Amino acid sequence: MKILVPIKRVVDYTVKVRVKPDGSGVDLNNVKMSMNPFDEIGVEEAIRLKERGIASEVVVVSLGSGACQETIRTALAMGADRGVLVETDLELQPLGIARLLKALVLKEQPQLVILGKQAIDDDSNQTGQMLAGLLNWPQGTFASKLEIADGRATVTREVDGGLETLELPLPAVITTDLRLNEPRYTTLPNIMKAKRRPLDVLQVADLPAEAVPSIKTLKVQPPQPRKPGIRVSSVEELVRKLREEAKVI
Amino acid sequence: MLTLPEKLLFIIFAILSIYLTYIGFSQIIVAVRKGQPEYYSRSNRLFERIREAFVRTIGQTPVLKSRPLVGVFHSFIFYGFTFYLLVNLIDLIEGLLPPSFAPLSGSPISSWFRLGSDVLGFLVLVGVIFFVWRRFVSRDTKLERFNDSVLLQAEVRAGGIRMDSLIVAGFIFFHVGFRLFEAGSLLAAEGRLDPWQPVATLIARVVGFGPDRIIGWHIGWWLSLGLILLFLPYFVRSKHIHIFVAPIRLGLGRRAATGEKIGSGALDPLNFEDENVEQFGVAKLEQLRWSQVLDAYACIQCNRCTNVCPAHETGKALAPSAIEINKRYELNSIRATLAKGAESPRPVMEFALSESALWACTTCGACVGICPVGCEPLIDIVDLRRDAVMTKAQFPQDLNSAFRNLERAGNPWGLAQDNRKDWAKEIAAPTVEENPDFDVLYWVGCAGAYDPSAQKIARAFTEILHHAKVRFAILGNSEKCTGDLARRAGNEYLYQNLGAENVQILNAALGNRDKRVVATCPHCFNALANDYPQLGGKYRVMHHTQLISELVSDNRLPELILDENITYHDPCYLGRHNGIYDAPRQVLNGPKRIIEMQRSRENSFCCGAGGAQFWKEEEPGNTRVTENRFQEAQATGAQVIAAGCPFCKSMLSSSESAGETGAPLVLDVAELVAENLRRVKSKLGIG
Amino acid sequence: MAILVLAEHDNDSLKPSTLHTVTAAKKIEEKIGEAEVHVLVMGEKVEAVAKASAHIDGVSKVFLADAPHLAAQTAEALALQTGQHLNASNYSHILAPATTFGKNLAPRIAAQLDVPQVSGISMILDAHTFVRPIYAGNALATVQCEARGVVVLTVLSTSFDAAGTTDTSAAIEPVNKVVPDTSGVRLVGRQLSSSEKIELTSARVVVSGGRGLQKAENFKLLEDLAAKLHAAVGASRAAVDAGYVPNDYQVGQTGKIVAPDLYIAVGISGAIQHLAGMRDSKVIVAINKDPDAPIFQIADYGLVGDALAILPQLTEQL
Repeated sequence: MKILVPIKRVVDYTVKVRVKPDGSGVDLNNVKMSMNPFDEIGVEEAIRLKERGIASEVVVVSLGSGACQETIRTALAMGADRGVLVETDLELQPLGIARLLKALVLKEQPQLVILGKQAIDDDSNQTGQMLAGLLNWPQGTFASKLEIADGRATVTREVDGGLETLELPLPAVITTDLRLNEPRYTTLPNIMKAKRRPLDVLQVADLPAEAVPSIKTLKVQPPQPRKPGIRVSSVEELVRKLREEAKVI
Repeated sequence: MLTLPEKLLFIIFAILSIYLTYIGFSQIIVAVRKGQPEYYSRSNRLFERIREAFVRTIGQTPVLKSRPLVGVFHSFIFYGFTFYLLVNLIDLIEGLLPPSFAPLSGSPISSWFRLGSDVLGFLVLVGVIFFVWRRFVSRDTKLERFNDSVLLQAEVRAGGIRMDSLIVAGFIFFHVGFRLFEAGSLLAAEGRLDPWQPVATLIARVVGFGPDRIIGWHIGWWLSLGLILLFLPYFVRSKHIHIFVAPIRLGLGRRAATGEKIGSGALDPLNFEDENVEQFGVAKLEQLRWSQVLDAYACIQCNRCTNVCPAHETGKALAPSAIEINKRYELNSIRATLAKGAESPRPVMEFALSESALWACTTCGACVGICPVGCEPLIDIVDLRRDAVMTKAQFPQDLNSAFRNLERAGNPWGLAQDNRKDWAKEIAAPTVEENPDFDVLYWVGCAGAYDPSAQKIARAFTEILHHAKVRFAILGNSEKCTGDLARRAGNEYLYQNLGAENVQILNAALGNRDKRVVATCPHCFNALANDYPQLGGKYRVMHHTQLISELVSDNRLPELILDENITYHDPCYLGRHNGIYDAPRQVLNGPKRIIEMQRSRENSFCCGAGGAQFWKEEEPGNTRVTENRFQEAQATGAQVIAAGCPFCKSMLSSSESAGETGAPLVLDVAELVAENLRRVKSKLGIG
Repeated sequence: MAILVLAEHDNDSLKPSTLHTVTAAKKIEEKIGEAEVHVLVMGEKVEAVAKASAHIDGVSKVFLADAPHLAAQTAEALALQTGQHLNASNYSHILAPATTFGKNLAPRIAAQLDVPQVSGISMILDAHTFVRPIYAGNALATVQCEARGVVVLTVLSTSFDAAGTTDTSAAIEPVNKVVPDTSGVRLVGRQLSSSEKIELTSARVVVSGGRGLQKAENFKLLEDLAAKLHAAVGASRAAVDAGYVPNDYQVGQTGKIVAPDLYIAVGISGAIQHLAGMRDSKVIVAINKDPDAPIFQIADYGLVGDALAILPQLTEQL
């Protein structure tokens, strides 16, 4: 069984993003970039399936600029077998990515596609579901547990208020939630080996899919600054603030 | 002189014994030579090294220092045995050659020689009896007490060390005892008393006089010299081999190519240039450096290191001595096959220590500091961690996030790099760009930058610098973790990446000017002072207590007046690893003011944070290291525990007893000084 | 033209998220004028849900797809059914709540329509222009969809008030056709988190206790508060060390990392190792008797006082 794991290069989770003063977006100059954490969980899950003898090959794919090669190498160092970069300078949006991924799925013929449930930059939470929709494959989103047996995937999903377990026939699309696993720390020999693993670079034009963005970002603004903390003098005041100001209870 | 058959027998026996001993020795030499090359020199400055080894051996200081009484008895045996090398040689000549060859006969030294062999021989017996009594009768728990969870070779578990001790003690006792008997019998046979040989004379009186007593001389000769031949092949595998290896090991300390000594704070770097290397750190015996292999034979199994190990003291699976002992037993059982070119059969982690032991080490250096023969089990631990982290990625889960955060955010909490200067929102702390004319570069460190409790230290120190009008600057958001925790956790690769970045930034900030770098964190201090020279960063590094002490003696700061009783906790990376004990004490107003804890200065007890312990859960034991230390501090009756390290402060103030009402407060020296400054200022009506 | 809201429910009752989504739909309706808000209810034996939907203020029609295979509400079945309904009617917008229900379903529908989706909108500027938080709320993006095609949106409940209910009921119509599900997906089971033990790492609210609780028994006070708030219970390392609670309660650098909407720290001084495990919480409340405790430095609301006295009061007043 082949597993395809799409991965996205994003601003690292430890970076405090800054909105550009002209409102055109977020400042990405000299900012640490790394693999989207949910995608890292996807890579880890695929590798574990391979280690358990369930998967035979783990192919990671990233879409974007040449710098994504570095992200792919990270996944290869974790233990993925092969990398594919679909190179483009276009701004990619979930629907376009899903279309490109569909084309790749038809080419690679995996039985399972594991994606992160969302990217921590645009927080869309769409690509996996869209890919499943385009392929008309079943989807197991927000997975916190995944088992594969007899051509079926049993997925425990994190849903509001609890867990839901679904059984899906393969091929299927899975998206990962945080508790699915804890990605491994890569060893140095594997980092070295990853440099020798195959990484194919395709151009968007090589794939029979349309990926022109259809949503325009008009501007990006910083949020309301977090208010400085205050001291309340009584339980009554605390409860009132939580209800009326913070709206968390 | 012996009879001819006796002589022939002795010579055959001697050849056999020496041959077997030679085989044993050469196997050990092969095993040691299989070890990897050293990073620092262990052979330059040969004369100094020999002198150092000689002085320490003859002076017996390493033994006397930590256990004075035991040391006295040890020196009885040491001096006696050393003298007996001469005694045995003369006995040998006297036994094998005609009396005309007797080297000392008739010379005036002869009397002194006899006196020496008699009295020193007697002292050796006293020493041995003391040691046997201590191990087998009074059963000093310091000797063989290992926590149940400590991994030991089966032979050791079965009492191998006791048996070895018994054999060695028996040999010494009988060897020296029969030498005295031999001398006594000679007097008895010759029918004379010798005032230079009081013990032998006493023996002569006991055995009674008469020419036939010469038989006693023969028996004594054979049992004292013959016993040596019998013992020699065993000697190679016994703990007694330390009489050769220990003095050598004492002269093998690490030195830079330029000759200066390298302290325990520095670790040997790895080379990541070669991309074909697949093994990082140590998995198998032969991957140890040669000095580490030699350690197994230098170790006398005295357990001093284990007695002072904070992990072992708090019930954990780590015993530094067990690492050396286990290595020794392993080597003894495989050295014959190693010598034939075979590889060692199993990984070090299978016999030397358990995984929990590996991760229990705080790298406090107490084991290295106290070892009377110069062993460095700490280096083994770091090398094994390197294998676990970099080659195998098998390490405590908690460290995973610390490593990732270091890689990504440059600090172990994963907090935004852009917030690094937030600690100085309410106090002026210019960056090197803002104040290029600085004299002192203040290295804040991650704790000072991000930990609210350590931010107070950073602010207090900044306040002090302002008051004393020190022209200082900080690196601000471009400073990153020094990588100390990564390095001590075995992640040398991550450390070197962080270190290289920091060295580049520091070199750019400092230029060629001779400026001082001052750190409020001993871990940062150690990295800057001991680790970074390996990466091309050579700085004049000082700890903030050193600078404060200097400012006080220059009258740029008022003297510290404290109402509270105070005790001072020596941070391992300031004290033991870097020898800075006095500066903080001078600031705290000299030894009169401080109520010292029993374990202070070189013998200070770790707070439990070092060696990346702060970033993981403590290994299973019976108590937390920090709780052990806090209770000791509390027992002094002090109201304030002064520390010189943000991590010590954090650990000690979060220990269980610290939560009790009336428990002493833990404060950094800088906080006390800044508080004093405020008091003085308000008294004078300024500020 | 009409705007379609996909109803979130558990076959028995309508989820409040639907009410918030209807408000968003009405806002769009205001912007385009001359539109209706329809609600599509899909499930099994969901008449009660349909009725509740029909009573939402501003809803003019409710469509009902009631079939056994819709009981599990899998994305596959619901997306197909929605697609069928869209063929039959003419919609400008499809809205779903940005809950796991809507997040799971809406993109699949969008993909089947081959149109983009805008996720988690917090503001509606016009029928095609929306504001949504990105980078975990560290930036707000104003985005615009192309004017052609259906606009698929998911809606942040916290940004739109819940729609009210009316006495008059909108019409309830069955969908013109129920489509069978051929995906082969089977629901194995659901495990709703009980109030006794809510998973720390996924809880919306976490209440944590520290050494300030003084003894193990006092954690009961914390558990009472947690039960009231449907919160998970956490602890500082000091509380774990003191034996008040087991190790798996520990929140911090070497314990669990949490980021709930509300974090209440009770009797916790705020050592960095604890802060590292909870500082990404959206709203932080600190209750501690030491006014200098570092926890107050990161708290949104601080209350200085004795935790043991405050806890029962707080539980009572919630």
